[in-house]
Amino acid sequence: MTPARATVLLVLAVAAQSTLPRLAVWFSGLDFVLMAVVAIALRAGPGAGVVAGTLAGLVQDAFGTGLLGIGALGKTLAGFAAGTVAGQFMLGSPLARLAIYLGASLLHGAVVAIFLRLTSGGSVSVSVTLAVAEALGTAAAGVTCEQVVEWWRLTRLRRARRTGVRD
Amino acid sequence: MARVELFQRPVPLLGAAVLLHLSIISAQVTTASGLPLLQTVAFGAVAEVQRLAVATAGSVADTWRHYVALRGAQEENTRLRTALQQLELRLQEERALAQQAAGLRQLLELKAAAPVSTTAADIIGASGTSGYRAILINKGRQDGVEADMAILSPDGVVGRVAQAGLHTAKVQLLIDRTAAIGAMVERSRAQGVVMGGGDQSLQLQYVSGLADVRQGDLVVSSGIDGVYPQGFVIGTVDLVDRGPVSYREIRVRPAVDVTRLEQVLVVTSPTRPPTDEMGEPQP
Repeated sequence: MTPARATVLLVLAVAAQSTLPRLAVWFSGLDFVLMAVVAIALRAGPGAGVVAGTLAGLVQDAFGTGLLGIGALGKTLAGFAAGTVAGQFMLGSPLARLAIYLGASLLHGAVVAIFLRLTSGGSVSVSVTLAVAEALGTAAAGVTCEQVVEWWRLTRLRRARRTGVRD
Repeated sequence: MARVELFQRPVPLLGAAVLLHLSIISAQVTTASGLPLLQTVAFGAVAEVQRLAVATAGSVADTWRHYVALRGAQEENTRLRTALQQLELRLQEERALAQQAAGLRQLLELKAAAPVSTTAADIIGASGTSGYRAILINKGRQDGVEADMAILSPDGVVGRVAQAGLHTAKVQLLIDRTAAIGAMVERSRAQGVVMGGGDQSLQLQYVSGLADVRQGDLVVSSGIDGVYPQGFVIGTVDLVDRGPVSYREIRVRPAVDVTRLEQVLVVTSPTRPPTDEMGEPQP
Protein backbone atom coordinates (compact mmCIF):
# COMPACT_ATOMS: atom_id res chain seq x y z
CA MET A 1 0.00 0.00 0.00
CA THR A 2 1.33 3.32 -1.03
CA PRO A 3 1.31 6.31 1.32
CA ALA A 4 -1.08 8.10 -0.96
CA ARG A 5 -3.58 5.29 -0.83
CA ALA A 6 -3.17 5.03 2.88
CA THR A 7 -3.76 8.74 3.26
CA VAL A 8 -6.87 8.54 1.10
CA LEU A 9 -8.12 5.63 3.12
CA LEU A 10 -7.59 7.50 6.37
CA VAL A 11 -9.30 10.61 5.07
CA LEU A 12 -12.25 8.56 3.95
CA ALA A 13 -12.38 6.85 7.30
CA VAL A 14 -12.36 10.12 9.19
CA ALA A 15 -15.04 11.47 6.90
CA ALA A 16 -17.15 8.39 7.40
CA GLN A 17 -16.69 8.60 11.13
CA SER A 18 -17.90 12.18 11.16
CA THR A 19 -20.87 11.75 8.82
CA LEU A 20 -22.29 8.24 8.99
CA PRO A 21 -23.35 8.32 12.66
CA ARG A 22 -25.65 11.20 11.77
CA LEU A 23 -27.39 8.99 9.23
CA ALA A 24 -27.96 6.01 11.52
CA VAL A 25 -27.44 5.58 15.23
CA TRP A 26 -25.82 2.19 14.99
CA PHE A 27 -22.98 3.65 12.94
CA SER A 28 -21.80 5.44 16.05
CA GLY A 29 -20.73 2.09 17.49
CA LEU A 30 -18.30 1.49 14.64
CA ASP A 31 -14.80 2.92 14.56
CA PHE A 32 -14.08 3.46 10.87
CA VAL A 33 -10.76 5.12 11.60
CA LEU A 34 -9.60 2.10 13.52
CA MET A 35 -10.65 -0.14 10.66
CA ALA A 36 -8.54 1.93 8.31
CA VAL A 37 -5.52 1.84 10.65
CA VAL A 38 -5.73 -1.95 10.95
CA ALA A 39 -6.17 -2.33 7.22
CA ILE A 40 -3.06 -0.25 6.62
CA ALA A 41 -1.09 -2.17 9.26
CA LEU A 42 -2.10 -5.51 7.71
CA ARG A 43 -0.74 -4.47 4.37
CA ALA A 44 2.19 -2.20 5.25
CA GLY A 45 3.44 -3.47 8.63
CA PRO A 46 3.64 -2.20 12.17
CA GLY A 47 5.57 0.97 11.38
CA ALA A 48 2.89 2.10 8.99
CA GLY A 49 0.28 1.08 11.55
CA VAL A 50 1.94 3.29 14.15
CA VAL A 51 2.10 6.30 11.88
CA ALA A 52 -1.43 5.80 10.63
CA GLY A 53 -2.77 5.32 14.12
CA THR A 54 -1.01 8.39 15.42
CA LEU A 55 -2.10 10.76 12.69
CA ALA A 56 -5.61 9.47 12.22
CA GLY A 57 -6.13 9.15 15.92
CA LEU A 58 -5.08 12.72 16.61
CA VAL A 59 -7.37 13.97 13.88
CA GLN A 60 -10.24 11.92 15.19
CA ASP A 61 -9.59 13.10 18.74
CA ALA A 62 -9.50 16.68 17.53
CA PHE A 63 -13.01 16.27 16.26
CA GLY A 64 -14.21 14.76 19.45
CA THR A 65 -14.91 16.23 22.86
CA GLY A 66 -12.51 14.10 24.87
CA LEU A 67 -8.88 14.61 25.64
CA LEU A 68 -6.59 14.81 22.66
CA GLY A 69 -4.31 11.80 22.41
CA ILE A 70 -6.22 9.07 24.17
CA GLY A 71 -7.85 7.64 21.06
CA ALA A 72 -4.65 8.24 19.14
CA LEU A 73 -2.68 6.25 21.68
CA GLY A 74 -5.13 3.37 21.42
CA LYS A 75 -5.03 3.38 17.64
CA THR A 76 -1.24 3.60 17.62
CA LEU A 77 -0.94 0.53 19.79
CA ALA A 78 -3.62 -1.26 17.82
CA GLY A 79 -1.90 -0.48 14.54
CA PHE A 80 1.43 -1.66 15.87
CA ALA A 81 -0.07 -4.89 17.23
CA ALA A 82 -1.98 -5.64 14.05
CA GLY A 83 1.04 -5.01 11.87
CA THR A 84 3.28 -7.14 14.07
CA VAL A 85 0.86 -10.08 14.07
CA ALA A 86 0.34 -9.78 10.32
CA GLY A 87 4.06 -10.15 9.81
CA GLN A 88 4.17 -13.34 11.85
CA PHE A 89 1.18 -15.29 10.52
CA MET A 90 -0.64 -16.00 7.27
CA LEU A 91 -3.88 -14.06 7.45
CA GLY A 92 -5.59 -15.00 4.19
CA SER A 93 -8.81 -16.33 5.65
CA PRO A 94 -11.60 -13.99 6.75
CA LEU A 95 -11.70 -15.64 10.16
CA ALA A 96 -8.05 -14.81 10.84
CA ARG A 97 -8.60 -11.26 9.77
CA LEU A 98 -11.64 -11.10 12.00
CA ALA A 99 -9.44 -12.12 14.92
CA ILE A 100 -6.96 -9.40 14.10
CA TYR A 101 -9.62 -6.75 13.84
CA LEU A 102 -11.27 -7.95 17.01
CA GLY A 103 -7.99 -8.00 18.93
CA ALA A 104 -7.03 -4.55 17.74
CA SER A 105 -10.47 -3.20 18.63
CA LEU A 106 -10.32 -4.71 22.11
CA LEU A 107 -6.84 -3.34 22.66
CA HIS A 108 -7.95 0.09 21.51
CA GLY A 109 -11.01 -0.03 23.74
CA ALA A 110 -8.98 -1.15 26.74
CA VAL A 111 -6.43 1.63 26.34
CA VAL A 112 -9.14 4.25 25.94
CA ALA A 113 -11.02 2.93 28.96
CA ILE A 114 -7.95 2.88 31.16
CA PHE A 115 -6.90 6.40 30.26
CA LEU A 116 -10.42 7.69 30.63
CA ARG A 117 -10.48 6.31 34.17
CA LEU A 118 -7.05 7.68 34.96
CA THR A 119 -7.59 11.16 33.61
CA SER A 120 -11.05 11.52 35.09
CA GLY A 121 -10.02 10.45 38.56
CA GLY A 122 -12.27 7.41 38.36
CA SER A 123 -15.44 9.40 37.77
CA VAL A 124 -15.99 8.01 34.25
CA SER A 125 -17.28 4.47 34.15
CA VAL A 126 -16.76 2.32 31.10
CA SER A 127 -19.19 -0.45 30.16
CA VAL A 128 -17.26 -3.55 29.29
CA THR A 129 -20.25 -5.05 27.51
CA LEU A 130 -20.67 -2.02 25.34
CA ALA A 131 -16.96 -1.90 24.60
CA VAL A 132 -16.93 -5.56 23.55
CA ALA A 133 -20.03 -5.09 21.43
CA GLU A 134 -18.45 -2.13 19.68
CA ALA A 135 -15.25 -4.11 19.18
CA LEU A 136 -17.23 -6.97 17.64
CA GLY A 137 -19.12 -4.59 15.41
CA THR A 138 -15.95 -2.85 14.29
CA ALA A 139 -14.24 -6.16 13.67
CA ALA A 140 -17.17 -7.47 11.67
CA ALA A 141 -17.41 -4.26 9.69
CA GLY A 142 -13.71 -4.28 9.07
CA VAL A 143 -13.69 -7.84 7.78
CA THR A 144 -16.74 -7.05 5.66
CA CYS A 145 -14.97 -4.07 4.18
CA GLU A 146 -11.91 -6.24 3.60
CA GLN A 147 -14.03 -8.79 1.77
CA VAL A 148 -15.73 -6.10 -0.28
CA VAL A 149 -12.41 -4.62 -1.22
CA GLU A 150 -11.07 -8.06 -2.04
CA TRP A 151 -14.14 -8.86 -4.12
CA TRP A 152 -13.80 -5.54 -5.90
CA ARG A 153 -10.11 -6.18 -6.51
CA LEU A 154 -10.76 -9.64 -7.88
CA THR A 155 -13.56 -8.34 -10.04
CA ARG A 156 -11.32 -5.69 -11.49
CA LEU A 157 -8.63 -8.31 -12.03
CA ARG A 158 -11.01 -10.60 -13.91
CA ARG A 159 -12.27 -7.73 -16.00
CA ALA A 160 -8.78 -6.73 -16.83
CA ARG A 161 -7.96 -10.26 -17.91
CA ARG A 162 -10.99 -10.30 -20.16
CA THR A 163 -10.19 -6.95 -21.72
CA GLY A 164 -6.43 -7.38 -21.59
CA VAL A 165 -5.95 -4.21 -19.64
CA ARG A 166 -3.80 -4.36 -16.52
CA ASP A 167 -4.25 -2.12 -13.59
CA MET B 1 14.62 5.90 1.64
CA ALA B 2 14.49 7.45 5.06
CA ARG B 3 10.79 6.69 5.24
CA VAL B 4 11.44 3.03 4.48
CA GLU B 5 14.13 2.80 7.21
CA LEU B 6 11.83 4.46 9.70
CA PHE B 7 9.05 2.02 8.95
CA GLN B 8 11.46 -0.90 9.27
CA ARG B 9 12.08 0.07 12.89
CA PRO B 10 8.59 0.05 14.29
CA VAL B 11 9.53 -0.31 17.96
CA PRO B 12 11.38 3.02 18.28
CA LEU B 13 8.65 4.55 16.22
CA LEU B 14 6.07 3.15 18.58
CA GLY B 15 7.99 4.43 21.58
CA ALA B 16 8.17 7.89 20.17
CA ALA B 17 4.50 7.87 19.26
CA VAL B 18 3.45 6.66 22.71
CA LEU B 19 5.61 9.29 24.35
CA LEU B 20 4.05 11.93 22.15
CA HIS B 21 0.55 10.83 23.04
CA LEU B 22 1.31 10.65 26.74
CA SER B 23 2.80 14.12 26.65
CA ILE B 24 -0.22 15.50 24.88
CA ILE B 25 -2.57 13.80 27.33
CA SER B 26 -0.58 14.88 30.36
CA ALA B 27 -0.48 18.47 29.21
CA GLN B 28 -4.27 18.56 29.30
CA VAL B 29 -4.78 16.88 32.64
CA THR B 30 -4.42 18.63 35.98
CA THR B 31 -3.75 16.89 39.26
CA ALA B 32 -5.67 17.33 42.48
CA SER B 33 -3.28 20.11 43.47
CA GLY B 34 -4.13 22.05 40.34
CA LEU B 35 -0.77 21.56 38.67
CA PRO B 36 -0.60 20.08 35.19
CA LEU B 37 0.02 16.36 35.21
CA LEU B 38 2.94 16.75 32.83
CA GLN B 39 4.62 19.16 35.21
CA THR B 40 3.89 16.95 38.17
CA VAL B 41 5.19 13.84 36.45
CA ALA B 42 8.27 15.67 35.20
CA PHE B 43 8.98 17.07 38.64
CA GLY B 44 8.46 13.66 40.20
CA ALA B 45 10.79 12.04 37.73
CA VAL B 46 13.47 14.68 38.20
CA ALA B 47 13.09 14.56 41.95
CA GLU B 48 13.38 10.79 41.92
CA VAL B 49 16.50 10.96 39.80
CA GLN B 50 17.93 13.56 42.17
CA ARG B 51 17.06 11.43 45.18
CA LEU B 52 18.76 8.41 43.65
CA ALA B 53 21.78 10.50 42.76
CA VAL B 54 22.06 11.88 46.27
CA ALA B 55 21.59 8.43 47.77
CA THR B 56 24.24 6.98 45.49
CA ALA B 57 26.66 9.78 46.26
CA GLY B 58 25.99 9.35 49.96
CA SER B 59 26.64 5.63 49.78
CA VAL B 60 29.88 6.19 47.93
CA ALA B 61 30.93 8.83 50.45
CA ASP B 62 30.06 6.55 53.38
CA THR B 63 31.95 3.65 51.86
CA TRP B 64 35.00 5.81 51.26
CA ARG B 65 34.85 7.31 54.74
CA HIS B 66 34.54 3.88 56.34
CA TYR B 67 37.42 2.58 54.29
CA VAL B 68 39.63 5.46 55.34
CA ALA B 69 38.56 4.96 58.94
CA LEU B 70 39.48 1.27 58.78
CA ARG B 71 43.09 2.09 57.98
CA GLY B 72 43.73 3.12 61.59
CA ALA B 73 41.21 0.83 63.17
CA GLN B 74 43.70 -1.91 64.06
CA GLU B 75 46.00 0.43 65.95
CA GLU B 76 43.10 2.14 67.64
CA ASN B 77 41.62 -1.21 68.56
CA THR B 78 44.84 -2.31 70.22
CA ARG B 79 45.16 0.98 72.06
CA LEU B 80 41.57 0.86 73.25
CA ARG B 81 41.91 -2.75 74.36
CA THR B 82 44.92 -1.89 76.47
CA ALA B 83 43.12 1.08 77.97
CA LEU B 84 40.13 -1.09 78.68
CA GLN B 85 42.22 -3.63 80.53
CA GLN B 86 43.75 -0.88 82.64
CA LEU B 87 40.34 0.54 83.36
CA GLU B 88 39.03 -2.89 84.36
CA LEU B 89 41.90 -3.23 86.80
CA ARG B 90 41.19 0.19 88.23
CA LEU B 91 37.51 -0.68 88.43
CA GLN B 92 38.28 -3.79 90.46
CA GLU B 93 40.48 -1.76 92.77
CA GLU B 94 37.81 0.89 93.18
CA ARG B 95 35.18 -1.75 93.76
CA ALA B 96 37.28 -3.37 96.47
CA LEU B 97 37.83 -0.02 98.12
CA ALA B 98 34.13 0.74 97.91
CA GLN B 99 33.22 -2.57 99.49
CA GLN B 100 35.72 -2.00 102.24
CA ALA B 101 34.36 1.48 102.83
CA ALA B 102 30.79 0.20 102.83
CA GLY B 103 31.67 -2.45 105.39
CA LEU B 104 33.35 0.09 107.62
CA ARG B 105 30.42 2.46 107.25
CA GLN B 106 28.00 -0.28 108.23
CA LEU B 107 30.09 -1.05 111.27
CA LEU B 108 30.20 2.61 112.20
CA GLU B 109 26.47 2.99 111.71
CA LEU B 110 25.83 -0.10 113.78
CA LYS B 111 28.16 1.15 116.43
CA ALA B 112 26.35 4.48 116.50
CA ALA B 113 22.91 2.90 116.53
CA ALA B 114 23.58 0.13 119.00
CA PRO B 115 22.43 0.94 122.53
CA VAL B 116 25.58 -0.66 123.82
CA SER B 117 29.20 0.29 123.74
CA THR B 118 31.23 -1.76 121.32
CA THR B 119 34.68 -2.12 119.92
CA ALA B 120 35.55 -3.32 116.46
CA ALA B 121 37.74 -6.32 115.90
CA ASP B 122 39.16 -8.11 112.88
CA ILE B 123 38.76 -11.82 112.39
CA ILE B 124 42.19 -13.35 112.26
CA GLY B 125 41.37 -17.04 112.27
CA ALA B 126 38.87 -19.81 112.75
CA SER B 127 38.71 -22.98 114.75
CA GLY B 128 38.58 -26.03 112.58
CA THR B 129 37.40 -28.39 115.29
CA SER B 130 34.42 -30.39 114.13
CA GLY B 131 31.23 -29.33 115.80
CA TYR B 132 32.82 -26.53 117.69
CA ARG B 133 32.39 -23.51 115.47
CA ALA B 134 34.54 -20.60 116.56
CA ILE B 135 36.62 -17.74 115.21
CA LEU B 136 39.56 -15.75 116.51
CA ILE B 137 39.52 -11.98 116.76
CA ASN B 138 42.43 -9.56 117.25
CA LYS B 139 41.11 -8.05 120.46
CA GLY B 140 41.64 -9.48 123.95
CA ARG B 141 41.75 -8.54 127.57
CA GLN B 142 44.20 -5.75 126.74
CA ASP B 143 41.36 -4.15 124.78
CA GLY B 144 38.68 -4.73 127.39
CA VAL B 145 37.36 -7.90 125.84
CA GLU B 146 36.19 -10.49 128.33
CA ALA B 147 34.42 -13.81 128.22
CA ASP B 148 30.68 -13.89 127.49
CA MET B 149 30.70 -10.65 125.63
CA ALA B 150 28.40 -10.62 122.64
CA ILE B 151 29.78 -10.40 119.13
CA LEU B 152 27.69 -8.59 116.51
CA SER B 153 27.90 -7.80 112.86
CA PRO B 154 25.85 -5.52 110.62
CA ASP B 155 23.77 -8.54 109.62
CA GLY B 156 23.04 -9.70 113.14
CA VAL B 157 24.30 -11.71 116.04
CA VAL B 158 27.54 -13.62 115.48
CA GLY B 159 28.22 -15.29 118.82
CA ARG B 160 29.89 -14.68 122.14
CA VAL B 161 33.44 -14.53 123.47
CA ALA B 162 34.20 -17.99 124.71
CA GLN B 163 37.74 -17.29 125.85
CA ALA B 164 39.69 -14.04 125.98
CA GLY B 165 43.44 -13.90 125.63
CA LEU B 166 45.65 -10.89 126.16
CA HIS B 167 45.44 -9.67 122.57
CA THR B 168 43.08 -12.16 121.01
CA ALA B 169 39.83 -13.83 121.82
CA LYS B 170 37.99 -16.97 120.78
CA VAL B 171 34.42 -16.40 119.71
CA GLN B 172 31.81 -19.14 119.89
CA LEU B 173 29.51 -18.82 116.89
CA LEU B 174 25.76 -19.20 117.16
CA ILE B 175 25.89 -22.19 114.84
CA ASP B 176 28.07 -24.07 117.33
CA ARG B 177 26.21 -27.07 118.62
CA THR B 178 26.74 -26.00 122.19
CA ALA B 179 25.72 -22.39 121.66
CA ALA B 180 22.42 -20.98 122.84
CA ILE B 181 20.78 -17.56 122.85
CA GLY B 182 17.57 -16.23 124.23
CA ALA B 183 15.35 -15.43 121.23
CA MET B 184 11.90 -14.34 120.25
CA VAL B 185 9.83 -14.16 117.10
CA GLU B 186 9.62 -10.50 116.19
CA ARG B 187 6.10 -10.65 114.75
CA SER B 188 4.35 -12.62 117.49
CA ARG B 189 6.82 -11.95 120.33
CA ALA B 190 6.88 -15.69 121.00
CA GLN B 191 9.93 -16.52 123.06
CA GLY B 192 12.27 -19.45 123.05
CA VAL B 193 15.91 -20.47 122.89
CA VAL B 194 17.93 -20.67 119.69
CA MET B 195 20.53 -23.42 119.75
CA GLY B 196 23.23 -24.20 117.25
CA GLY B 197 23.15 -27.42 115.35
CA GLY B 198 26.80 -27.71 114.48
CA ASP B 199 26.02 -27.11 110.82
CA GLN B 200 24.78 -24.00 109.10
CA SER B 201 21.34 -24.06 110.73
CA LEU B 202 19.83 -23.09 114.08
CA GLN B 203 16.98 -24.58 116.10
CA LEU B 204 14.40 -22.52 117.97
CA GLN B 205 13.37 -24.55 120.98
CA TYR B 206 11.23 -24.24 124.06
CA VAL B 207 8.52 -22.40 122.21
CA SER B 208 5.02 -22.62 123.67
CA GLY B 209 2.57 -24.69 121.76
CA LEU B 210 0.17 -21.74 121.86
CA ALA B 211 2.69 -19.40 120.27
CA ASP B 212 2.32 -18.28 116.68
CA VAL B 213 5.37 -19.08 114.58
CA ARG B 214 5.33 -19.08 110.83
CA GLN B 215 7.82 -19.64 108.12
CA GLY B 216 9.58 -16.41 107.26
CA ASP B 217 9.24 -14.88 110.68
CA LEU B 218 12.21 -12.88 111.84
CA VAL B 219 13.89 -14.18 115.00
CA VAL B 220 15.74 -11.67 117.16
CA SER B 221 17.60 -11.82 120.44
CA SER B 222 15.40 -11.43 123.49
CA GLY B 223 18.23 -10.29 125.82
CA ILE B 224 16.94 -12.53 128.57
CA ASP B 225 20.17 -14.54 128.73
CA GLY B 226 22.22 -11.60 129.96
CA VAL B 227 24.84 -12.07 127.22
CA TYR B 228 23.26 -10.79 124.04
CA PRO B 229 21.56 -7.41 123.85
CA GLN B 230 17.88 -7.38 122.94
CA GLY B 231 16.56 -6.91 119.43
CA PHE B 232 19.47 -8.04 117.29
CA VAL B 233 18.68 -10.30 114.36
CA ILE B 234 19.45 -13.98 114.73
CA GLY B 235 17.83 -15.32 111.59
CA THR B 236 14.66 -16.22 109.77
CA VAL B 237 12.30 -19.14 110.42
CA ASP B 238 12.99 -21.61 107.66
CA LEU B 239 10.86 -24.60 108.66
CA VAL B 240 7.98 -25.06 111.10
CA ASP B 241 6.97 -28.60 112.06
CA ARG B 242 4.01 -28.36 114.42
CA GLY B 243 2.84 -31.33 116.43
CA PRO B 244 -0.60 -31.83 118.07
CA VAL B 245 0.45 -30.18 121.28
CA SER B 246 3.76 -28.41 120.70
CA TYR B 247 6.23 -27.59 117.99
CA ARG B 248 8.35 -30.53 116.96
CA GLU B 249 10.91 -28.45 115.14
CA ILE B 250 11.45 -24.81 114.23
CA ARG B 251 14.47 -24.38 112.04
CA VAL B 252 16.08 -20.96 111.71
CA ARG B 253 18.36 -19.84 108.93
CA PRO B 254 21.16 -17.67 110.41
CA ALA B 255 21.26 -14.06 109.31
CA VAL B 256 25.04 -13.95 109.46
CA ASP B 257 27.17 -15.78 106.97
CA VAL B 258 30.30 -16.33 109.02
CA THR B 259 32.31 -17.38 106.01
CA ARG B 260 32.08 -13.85 104.66
CA LEU B 261 32.80 -12.00 107.85
CA GLU B 262 35.95 -9.89 108.08
CA GLN B 263 35.19 -7.59 110.97
CA VAL B 264 32.90 -7.78 114.00
CA LEU B 265 31.82 -5.64 116.94
CA VAL B 266 32.45 -6.74 120.51
CA VAL B 267 29.83 -5.54 122.98
CA THR B 268 31.98 -4.27 125.79
CA SER B 269 29.23 -2.88 128.03
CA PRO B 270 27.51 -5.36 130.30
CA THR B 271 24.24 -6.60 128.87
CA ARG B 272 21.36 -6.74 131.27
CA PRO B 273 18.11 -8.51 130.76
CA PRO B 274 15.23 -6.20 129.80
CA THR B 275 13.25 -5.07 132.81
CA ASP B 276 9.79 -3.66 133.33
CA GLU B 277 8.89 -0.40 135.01
CA MET B 278 9.38 -1.93 138.47
CA GLY B 279 12.86 -3.09 137.53
CA GLU B 280 11.87 -6.74 137.37
CA PRO B 281 13.19 -8.83 134.52
CA GLN B 282 10.68 -9.41 131.77
CA PRO B 283 9.85 -12.96 130.89
